[in-house]
Formats: sequence, C-alpha cells, structure tokens
Amino acid sequence: MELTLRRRAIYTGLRPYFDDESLLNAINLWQEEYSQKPKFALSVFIARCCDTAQLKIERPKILGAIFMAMDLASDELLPDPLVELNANNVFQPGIKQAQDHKTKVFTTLLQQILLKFNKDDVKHIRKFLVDHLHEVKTDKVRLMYIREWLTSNTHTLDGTYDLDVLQQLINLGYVAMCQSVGPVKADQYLAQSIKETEPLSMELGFKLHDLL
Amino acid sequence: MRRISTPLILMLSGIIFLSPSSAMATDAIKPDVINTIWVVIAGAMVFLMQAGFAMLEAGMVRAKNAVNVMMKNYIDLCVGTLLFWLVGYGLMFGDNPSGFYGTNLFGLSSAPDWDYTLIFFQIMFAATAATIVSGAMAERTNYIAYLIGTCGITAIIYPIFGSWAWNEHGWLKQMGFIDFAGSTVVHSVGGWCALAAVLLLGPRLGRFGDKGEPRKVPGHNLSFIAIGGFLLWFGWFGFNGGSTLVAGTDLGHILLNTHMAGAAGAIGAMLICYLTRQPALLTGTVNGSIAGLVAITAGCASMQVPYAILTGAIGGALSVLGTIWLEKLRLDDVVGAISVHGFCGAWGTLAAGLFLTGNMYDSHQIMVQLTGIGAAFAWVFLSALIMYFVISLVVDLRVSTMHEQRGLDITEHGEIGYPEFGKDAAYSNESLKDLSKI
Repeated sequence: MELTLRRRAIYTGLRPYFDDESLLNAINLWQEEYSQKPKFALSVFIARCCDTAQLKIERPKILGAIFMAMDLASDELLPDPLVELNANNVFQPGIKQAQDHKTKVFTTLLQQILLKFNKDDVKHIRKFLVDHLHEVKTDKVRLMYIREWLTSNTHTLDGTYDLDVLQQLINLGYVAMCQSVGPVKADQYLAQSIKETEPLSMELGFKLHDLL
Repeated sequence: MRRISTPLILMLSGIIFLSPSSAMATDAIKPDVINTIWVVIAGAMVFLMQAGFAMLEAGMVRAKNAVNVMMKNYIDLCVGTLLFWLVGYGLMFGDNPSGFYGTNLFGLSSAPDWDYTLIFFQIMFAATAATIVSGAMAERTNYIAYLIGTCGITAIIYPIFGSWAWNEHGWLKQMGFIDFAGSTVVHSVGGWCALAAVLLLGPRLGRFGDKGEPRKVPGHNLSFIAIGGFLLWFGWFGFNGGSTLVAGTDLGHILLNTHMAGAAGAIGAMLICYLTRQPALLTGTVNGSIAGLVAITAGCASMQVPYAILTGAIGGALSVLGTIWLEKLRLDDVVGAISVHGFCGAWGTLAAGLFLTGNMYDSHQIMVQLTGIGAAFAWVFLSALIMYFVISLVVDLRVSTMHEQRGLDITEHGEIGYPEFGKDAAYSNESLKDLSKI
C-alpha cells in the first residue's frame, strides 16, 4: 500500500476521535516514526496519540477503526489529510502561500542534482533526506509538506520556507550524494547543478548561493 | 679586464673567511663559531621543511581546502615556536632528576650563546612534530580545535617524550636508546598524534562506501606535492646533519645516508606498488621518499650506506602497505602521515638498533629500541587521544557537514584559494559575500 493511501487510511480511522490540530500532530507523528514500521506498531502509535483520559478509554476502538480503514477501497477513504486539513485552515497562512522564488530555485536545484543520479541512487538520496528530516529545524506542518514532496516525487513543493531550512536540505542532499558517489563527484554534481539553475535564479532575482 | 662586482667580492671573502683552512691558518675562528654557524644554518634548512609540508599537504587536499591547510601549517609553526620556547624546551632539556621531564630553562631570556643556538634548532624540530598532524586531519577539522591540539603537542606531548630520549638524564637515553635525529622523537610522535586525531575525527564525508570500500579523493595540485617533496628532502639534510650539533667530518656520511635512504624509499614504494599491481602514483612515490627519510633519521649517523639504503627502501614499502592497511580499517589519513611518519619512524628506530655499525643485530640494543618505540606509542597515542577528546568536548573537533560542503577555506578563513580559476567549483569569490552564517 503506497504512502498516500496509508496516510488516508490513518486519517480516516482517526478523524472521528480527534480535532484538527491533534489530527495534524498525530499524522505527523505517524509519518515521522511509524509509516515505515509494520502494522502491529500502530498500537504503540495510538497509545502515544491518546493522551487524554477520554481518548485512553477509546484506544481499542480507534485502533480497530484504523485497521478497518486500511481494508477499505481507495474511493471509500477520506481525502489526503494534507489537502483536507489545508482546506480547514489548520495551517498558518504563511505556509499556504504559493511557492516563493527561493523555494522555486531550491526545488529546481535539488531536481537538477537528482537528475545526475540513477534510479537507485535517487531513491537512496530521497530516503536519506526523509530519514534525516528531524534534523531540519522548522515546524511540523512544513516538515510534513517537505516529506510529502520528497516521497511523492512531485515537482512542486508547496509553501514558503526559511532560508535556513532550505540550506539544511541542500546540505543533507550533499551528504547523501557523498555517501552515494563519494565526495569528488558530489562536489562536481553540485557545481554542475548550480550552473544549470543559475539562469532561473537570475531570472527570478534570487541569489542562488544564499541556498548553499 | 672584466670588473668583479662588489657582492661577488663580498661573497668570496665570506667563503674564504669561513673555510676551515683559513680558520686554522689564522686561528681567528673558534670551533664553537663554526659549530654555531652550521647548526643555525641547519635550523634554517629545517624551517624550510615547513614550506615543504605546506606544499605537500595543500597539494593533496581539494582546492576548497587548500588555504586552510596552508594556514594550519603556517600558524602551527608560530604557535609551536612560542610555546616550545616558553614551556617545551625546559621540559625537554632542563635538569631532569626523575628521568621523565625537565624542570628548568622555561622561557629563557638570558643564557649562554650556545643555548640560544640549541633552542633555535630544537624549535624547528618541535614545529615539525606538530605540523605532521595537520595533513592527517585535513578537510574536516575545526581550525581552533587544531590549534589547541598544536599547543598540547609542542608544549607537553612532544617535549615530555623528548626528555626521555634526548635529555642527558632521560630514562631512555640512560638505557642506550638510539634515535639520532628523531625517527621516533619527532616523526613517530607526530604520526601517533595524527592517529589519535583521525580516530576521533572520523573519515571525510563519503570517503568510504557502505561496505567500507575506500573512495579516492585526489589532491588538487600534483605539482605542489612534488615541490613539497623536494623541499622536505632538502630540509632533511639540515634535520639530520644539524643533529650532530658539530660541524664535523662525519657530516658527509650522515647526509649521504640520508640522501640514499630518501632515494631508496621512493624506489621501495614504487616496487611495492608494482608487486601489489597498483599504479605508481606521484603521491605514493613522494611519500615513499619521505618515508625513507623518516626511517633513516634515527640511524643516519650509526649505520653503513648499504643498510641506510635497505632501511629507506623498507620504509618506502611500509608507507604504501601502511596506507592500505589504514584504509581497510576505515581510517581516513588524508596525506598518509600515520603511515609515513608513525610506522616508518618506528621501523627506522628499530633499524638503528638492528644495523648499528660495530654492534649489528645486538639483542639488548634491539630490546632497548623496541622499549623506546613502545613507550613513544603508549605515551603519545594515549595523551593525544585524551587531549583531542577533551578538545572535542570544549570546542567541536570536527566541522559541520555544511562546512565540509562549503570547504574550509570559506568557512574557517573567509577566503578562496583560487578566485580566478573556480569555474568548476560550487563556490566562487563572488559568492563569498552571499554565503550567510559562515
């Protein structure tokens, strides 16, 4: 079951019991720590989410609801929580803004870097980035967007991000590149990708080296 | 008739004035003067080895870290000089009733002329021991942490061991330990400090693959490496020759042994590359000759020429094999300092006992040599390990991955080594001002 579908199943199971903010935190927790683990780890996940007396009583029901949701067909599940919660204005207005120039240059640069690698290496680099997202210092919602962007292989990273965050992501990408192909090629690929992204950054009036 | 220029006349007068026959004829120059002239010139030649190390190490790192390596070599000399004068010389050559450390001659401000000569000469040796470490730690070490480490080496680690081996009352010296110019005292000390630092630092990003396979990180300037090798070789004549502390007739033998071992070291390294089906790289060849020079340093005054050649050749081979072994252990020594200075220093010290003219293969002498080698490793490695560990707790020993990405030239010094030729680099001189949070 692919990640988006599993996320929708978790969301469908949890929705009747949690408010928007708690849901967001729960889904974020699941993505960060439980999305790659086997099903039985969900009981630990639910135990961590149910932090009030009322929720603790309902724990078996919630767990059952999630297991049921996982057996549902795709069209029976609630929409992707990222879209749904976004529509409910759970996210801060700043994040909902369209992609800004620096984020656009960042996504182009990272994509240029990834284009230099074969499929397996790209997979490894993306996984490395996802696994090390906890090192990136930003709020949970933004982390969720970034995780979604990295795992779903889409072109557009929604939202706006601080320069620090984007710098950290490029650096994580560099570390992953070093692991995959060694430091010499990593330096070469980074330099090439910078050159290829420079026309866009000049067009948008954003200094590319601010990202590095 | 052609006119002879004034500088030429002065130079010729100087040569005639300083020549032994002239001195003996006029009886105007005392032997002390000649000895002093020789030792200070030799000291100045050893000083040039700093340039050799700087060139060699800078050539072996990537362009983005060249300034950092040069800076480390330059500043460790300055820091080491001051600290060795203040603390190290006293610990090493002061009165030594215990046999373990000197107790006076700290920060000498007034002393007999010969003491000044000795301090000048010994400062160059201390700086050499310290600078060996910089290459091994290159490309990922915090500049301040490195400098603190240099302080520890030149003020405590090196002089304490030096007092055991070179102080008249040192316990190793009393046992009859032979290390004429410092295969162990200088080179192994540097090598073992480097080993401790490299263990704590860890390898550079991506230096080893998932399965431990080493990935080559070629240096950015092979010409620098070759010139560095030549400079070091030249400086070694002062290093070994000056250690006589006397302008005697044995200088020719010492310098010939030194030169032969350097040449044999390069050949030994090439041969072992050939036998192990590896390409004979310039880096390995230069390191081989330095390994030969390191190895002969202990016994250059006490073994016959053929044995000097053998000592050098084995040293050269050992430098290649040691590097391969360290790579298998996933230890990232950027310039091969541990192998060249640590392993070959130990081998050279053993060889000085094995091939001692008039007393070859003497088991007692060999045991003394092994004791000295073991004591050096135990003291230097453990004290350096503790020192670097404490440094890592106070200031980070290793730079962040962001700094490794940007290169230490920018992050540690705010300048770029090759501003005009950075077409293929991620960072150019123009981008310096845009890089935030250096």
